[in-house]
Amino acid sequence: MPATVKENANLPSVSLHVAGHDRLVHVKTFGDPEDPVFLIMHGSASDMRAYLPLKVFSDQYFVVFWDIRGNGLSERCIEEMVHEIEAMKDLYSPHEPITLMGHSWSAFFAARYLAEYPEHVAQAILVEPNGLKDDFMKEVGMSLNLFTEGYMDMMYTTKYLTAKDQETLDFQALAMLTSGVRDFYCDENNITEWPVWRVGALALMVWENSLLTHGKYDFDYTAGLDQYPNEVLIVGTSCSPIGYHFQETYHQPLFKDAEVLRIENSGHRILTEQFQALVNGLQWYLSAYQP
Amino acid sequence: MEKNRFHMVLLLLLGLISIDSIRAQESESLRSHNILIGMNSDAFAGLEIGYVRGSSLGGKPVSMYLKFNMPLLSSCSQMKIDSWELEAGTGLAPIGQDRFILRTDLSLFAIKHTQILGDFFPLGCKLQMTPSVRTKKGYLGFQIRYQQVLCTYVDPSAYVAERFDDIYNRENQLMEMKPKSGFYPFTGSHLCLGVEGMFATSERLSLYADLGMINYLSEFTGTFDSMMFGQIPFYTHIRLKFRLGRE
Repeated sequence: MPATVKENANLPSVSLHVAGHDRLVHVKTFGDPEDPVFLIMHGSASDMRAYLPLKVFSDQYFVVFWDIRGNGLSERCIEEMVHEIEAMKDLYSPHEPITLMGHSWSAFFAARYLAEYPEHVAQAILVEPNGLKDDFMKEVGMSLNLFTEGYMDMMYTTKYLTAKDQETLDFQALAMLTSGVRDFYCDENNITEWPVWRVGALALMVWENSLLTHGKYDFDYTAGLDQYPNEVLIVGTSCSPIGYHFQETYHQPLFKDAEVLRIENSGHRILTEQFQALVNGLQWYLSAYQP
Repeated sequence: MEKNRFHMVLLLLLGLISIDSIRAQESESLRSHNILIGMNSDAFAGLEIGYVRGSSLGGKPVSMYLKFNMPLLSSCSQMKIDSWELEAGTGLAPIGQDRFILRTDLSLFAIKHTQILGDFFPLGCKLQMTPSVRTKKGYLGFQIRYQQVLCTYVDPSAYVAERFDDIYNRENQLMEMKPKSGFYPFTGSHLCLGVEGMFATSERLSLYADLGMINYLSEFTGTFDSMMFGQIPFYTHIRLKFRLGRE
């Protein structure tokens, strides 16, 4: 697997102080640092790579991509995601509110940031957040298709390859990106490509385990979401189990002012499935902002 | 590396114990030719076929075997045989009057596995000990199996190589990197604990079955709660041994 910023000092990185530690994260920026800051957070088992085409917004914003801790080429550690967003905001826009976008579990973290730091965000985009409450996730279910070629191959791999460190685990997990174990796609037999340098497998495992008690979802992260004063754009797709129907039913009512952008003919990997439709929807929302 | 050394020492120690147990056992020799056919839980459903030669060494009964395994379900779904394992080993199957017996197996294996991450060729060894109680028509025992991969030749795929593309340094220059093909030492190990039984249905035909739990000896291998990247921590194995003839 490619080295992380911890092993390769030539990679562009910044140091964040989160959860009592200084951690290096892999970062890329586009645009004029004087423009409003737009922080873009990738989803789980991923990194910033698939999101880099969103640099198209660098004509209006100073766009900041980073591999969240434990993922991509960032240092491996996993706790306190809301504080990580706050540390990035402190670093790139200490005095002005930011525009924040998160996808999948990162949209979940971004939603929590809105609840805890409502005054720090001017615009918020939540792209298919997973359920913010256990009851919502029960609607989605936990079923996995373990009889995919990818999963069976991974099972066979453990005859000779034991994940005894994060690099090996990330290597094994890389195969799962093409497996369709989780059915988030319009056509599970034709899964869209997802560019990634290095997945953060342990970060996802630890995070998802933290939501379970005795094997069942047991969490509620909805408190305070209605305190966010501005309009929130929630993006949902037609094919994903956490698509626009899910977002309209469960998440839209949690906010004071939320709009759902419907993306048709797309699964959870919107960036590679319907990029232009996403950009068009974001442009419409972002153009309302007058810094 | 410390853990790898520990595993090697453990393996050697278990080997010495097993040799000692072979010496200690009272038995009679039985020379025979046998074929094996079975199913196991490798990638949900694996097929095993093999040949077993029953023999004796210095008056002690030993068996030598050659087995071929392949993940049946996975191969059928892909419509090709991209994965298989060849295992050669020797075991002690004592036939005596004692009620308590210790069965031992030591084998070497080679695997070929082609998958999206590349081509893999591991070489390793397994040691199994089964303290058992003899029954009227077979035995029932506690199975302890340790498997250690000694080295794996890895030839990463284009899919893996692509992970190293488009990485830029601080000066925004493209960094030329690619994954390395070659031998990697001690890539995997696990410990299986379970129960094993044998039942002789006739003079020629015996049924063997075992099931138990796999411990991957690693905090980085998820089970159940993290199934997307995790593993099913159980194994099962059922096989028939058919005796072709005695000498």
